[in-house]
Order: sequence, then structure tokens, then C-alpha cells
Amino acid sequence: MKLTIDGLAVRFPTPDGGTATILENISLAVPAGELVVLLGASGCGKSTLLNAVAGFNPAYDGAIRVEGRLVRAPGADRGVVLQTDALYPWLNAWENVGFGLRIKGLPQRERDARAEQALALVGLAGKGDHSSWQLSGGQRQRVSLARALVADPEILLMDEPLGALDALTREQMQDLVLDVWRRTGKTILFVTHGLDEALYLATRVIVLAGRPGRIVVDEPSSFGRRSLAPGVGASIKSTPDFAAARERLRAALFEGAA
Amino acid sequence: MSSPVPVSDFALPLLVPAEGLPRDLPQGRTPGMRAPRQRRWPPLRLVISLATIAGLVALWWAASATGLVSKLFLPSPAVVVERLGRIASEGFVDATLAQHLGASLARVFAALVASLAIGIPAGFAIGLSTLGRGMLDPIVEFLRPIPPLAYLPLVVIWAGIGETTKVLVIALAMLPPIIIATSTGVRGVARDRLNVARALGATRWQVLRLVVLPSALPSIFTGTRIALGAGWSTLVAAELVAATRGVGFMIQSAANFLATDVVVAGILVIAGVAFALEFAIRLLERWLVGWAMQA
Repeated sequence: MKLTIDGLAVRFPTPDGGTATILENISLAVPAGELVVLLGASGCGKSTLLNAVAGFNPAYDGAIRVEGRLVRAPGADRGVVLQTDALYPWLNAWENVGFGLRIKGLPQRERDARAEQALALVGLAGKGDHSSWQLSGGQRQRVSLARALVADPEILLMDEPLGALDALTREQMQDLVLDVWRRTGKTILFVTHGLDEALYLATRVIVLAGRPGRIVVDEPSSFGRRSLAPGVGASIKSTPDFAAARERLRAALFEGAA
Repeated sequence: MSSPVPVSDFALPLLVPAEGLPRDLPQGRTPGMRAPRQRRWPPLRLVISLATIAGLVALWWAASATGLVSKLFLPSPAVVVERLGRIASEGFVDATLAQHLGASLARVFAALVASLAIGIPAGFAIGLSTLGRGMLDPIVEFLRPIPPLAYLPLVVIWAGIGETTKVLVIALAMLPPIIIATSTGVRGVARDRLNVARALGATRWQVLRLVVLPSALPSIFTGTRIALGAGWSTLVAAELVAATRGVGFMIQSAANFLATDVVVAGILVIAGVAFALEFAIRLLERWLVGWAMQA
């Protein structure tokens, strides 16, 4: 298993001295190569779950393991793509993508070569010398994805990575995520509040709902793989299957929230 | 005063029926619409600024030429410029203008280096740790509002009347803006920027050096510019005590002899040098943190 979560609970102190339970009784096992989408309304704790896996919030109960190793701090085995691209504006695209390699002490020549490879993978070949302000929102998010990929993580954690993009760019980026997933075979944990996005990308959909947030749906989904077949793509979103699955998930989201 | 074209431009559509309008109305600007921006040289703002300065000098000249103001209080521009030339070549109180200026610049730069060396780490300490903030914040807030002239005697008692005292007084004035700007910059680093670096395996030191420092650099530059202003303001006070050279010293000795032309010349020199330094810092800023101006 790439990722196992056992009996995870996350609590935060509240200003009035009490504790707020954000997540409770979360258990989950993710085998290699899955594209797991965490779906939930805002405030359900899906980002909290992702932050815990990333190691940003080490104060949790239960156990999170990546390749069997207990997670207590951030590490290069877990690549992170956030809603804000969080690119460093003083670096160009190559340098941003190669940042993780610089931290490992790789020489510049090798960093640039691997950064260029990663940029090509996300469709930005030849844009390495661009600064972040010269790139569009979608392009910046591609650089951000390349930066996470270049460190060759065990698992890719994506926290609403397409949430700040316009609708058209968002659809293109969904295809890019699927393409990158197919070509790299990475295990991906993808957080979103978009029903269509979740169904379109996922090989497995997990719905978080309620306060504290719990898993109310955990089921395999086939649209992610099916959409990769030649000539299918986004058209799968208009099939009756897709519409039915979407309505079921919508019901689960609101039922869980009530 | 106003030309007839804009008047007809606005008034015609209201007064004349539509069919009565000539085909080609003057293609002037309509309200709320601007002509496409052209990069003209010199820019209008610069022209206005230069004209204002020229106007003020003309007023100055007129006031002294007509005898409206006594020469003792305000010598004419020509006298000041001539005097400035004489200070530059012959000197004033045993030193040339270059030597006075060199002494002052050396003090301000020594103070700048010292306050950067202390202020940036202190700003990081305030920005990063509760301990640092708790300890240093009250000291900075205590120091910040005190005028340099107030602590000058104390510094003299502690450090004597040598060069150390002068640099120390200037540095004390420069320190608070640098510390405050640095800590503001450090605290303002977006959490996502830090998290991304940590997720790539960066150590705490790497996060500080590769993410926090560059993120805070634009703010540190702003603080340095404010600090330089404070430093120049303090220069004259610092050179009150047992100085034999320096532009501030030159102004004070001239005042003792009622040599108003030298006083005015000294003021102009300080203003000119401060302006040149500000310009140099802006160039450096554009080169080092130009990215911050693009967003």
C-alpha cells in the first residue's frame, strides 16, 4: 500500500479553550497507481486530511503511513500541489521546478535537464526561462505540478489544484492531470469540491461529510480510466452513466452534511 | 483661457439637432476617454517637477535681488553657488567639501552596514519566534520614537566623543525601520510558499535562506530606504559632538560665523547626496527584487 490511514482524528484548540474535532475515524488504504479523489463540501475537513498526510499538521491521532513509514513531518516522498501555485516569483520556471533538486544538492546542469523534462511532461517545453508573472494561471499550476513531479514522490497530494482557474482552463487541466497520471503511473490523492471533476478524474471516489468529517462514500469509479480511451475524453461527462453517478454523489454529499 | 475646441466638442451634441451635425466632428477626446498612452520624453510629471523647482529658485533669487530679505538671512542663489565652488576648491574650516562629504558618507555607510548586520537578524528573530518577538519588540518600540538628540548625551557619556559615538547615534536611528521592515516581511511570507518547500524536503535553514529571505527582501529594501533617510537626518546631530569634518559639522560651524551661504550650500549638498543615494538604491532594488514590482 502506498498510503494507509488508520483511525485518524484531527482536533484543533478553539479560541474559547475547547477543542474542535475536524476529522474523526478516518481509515483508508490506497494501493499504488490509484487516483483517489476526496470530495466534500467546504469545511468538511478534506484539506485538513490532505495537510495531515503531507505532514503540515503533525498533531493528529491515529496513524498515517506512506510506504509503511509513519508520517510526522513533511517530506520529499509526498509531492504537494496547492490551490495557490505558490511559485517563487524570484525564480524562473526551470528554477522553480528544480527547487526540490537544489535542496537535495544536485548540480545545476542536472537540475535544469530534469526540470525541462518535467516541464515537457506538463506541456510547457521551452518555457523554462519564463518568470511566474509571465505565465497564465493554468501555466503556473502546470509548473507547480512539474515541481512536485520532478522530486519523484511516492504519492502526489493535490489540494483543489484547479480551484482558482477559469472553467475552460480547468477542463484542459483535468485532461492534463489524467495524462500525467497515465504517463507517470503516480499514486494521486486529489481534493476537490467539484462533482464532475471528482467523477471525471477518479479511479476511486471518497466523500467526506458531516462535522466532524467522516467518510460517507468510498467506492471505485471507472470514468477516470474510461475517459482515457481514444476519442472519449470529456465527452464521457454527458453520458447517462455519468449523470446518474453524479446525482448519487450529490445526494451522498447533502445527506452526509445534514 | 480655454480653447474653443473642447467647448464645441461638448456643447454641440446638446445644442444642435443630430441631422444638423457635420459629418466629421473634430476627433477630439470625449469625456471619460483618454488618448492612447504614449511614452513621451520628457514625461509630463518630470516637466512639472522641474518647472516647480525652477520657479522656487526664481522666487528665491527675486527675494534676495530686490532686497526683500536681508542677505544675512538668505543669500542669493548665485552667491550660494559661488560659495559652493569655493568650498569645493578651497575648503571651509580646514577641509574641502570632498573631505567633509567623505567623512559624513563614511559615517552613514558604517552605520548602514552595522544596522543591517544587526537589524536583519533581529527582524528575523521577531518575525520567526515568540521569544524573539517578546524580547526585541519592546526594545524597538522604546527606541523608535526617541529623537537622536535626546540620547546623544548618553551615548557621549558611554562611548566618548570619538567616531564610535557618531556612527552609533546614526545607527540607532537607522535600526528601528530596518528591524520593523524585516520582521514585517518575514511574517508576511505566505504559508503555502513555506509548505511547498518543506514538502520538497527543505530543512529549516534551507527554508529560511531560500524562501523566507528572498520573500522578505523587497520589504527589507523599503526599510533600508527609510533608514537611510533617518540616517541623514541624524547626521547633523551626530556631528554636533567634537567633529572636525563632516557636512553637518560644516553647517554648524558656518552658523557660528553667520555664514548663511555656507549653511544653505551644506543643506543643498545633503539633499543632493540623499537624492543620489535613493536613486542608487532604487536601481539596486530593481536589479535584485525586480520580480516584486511585476505582480
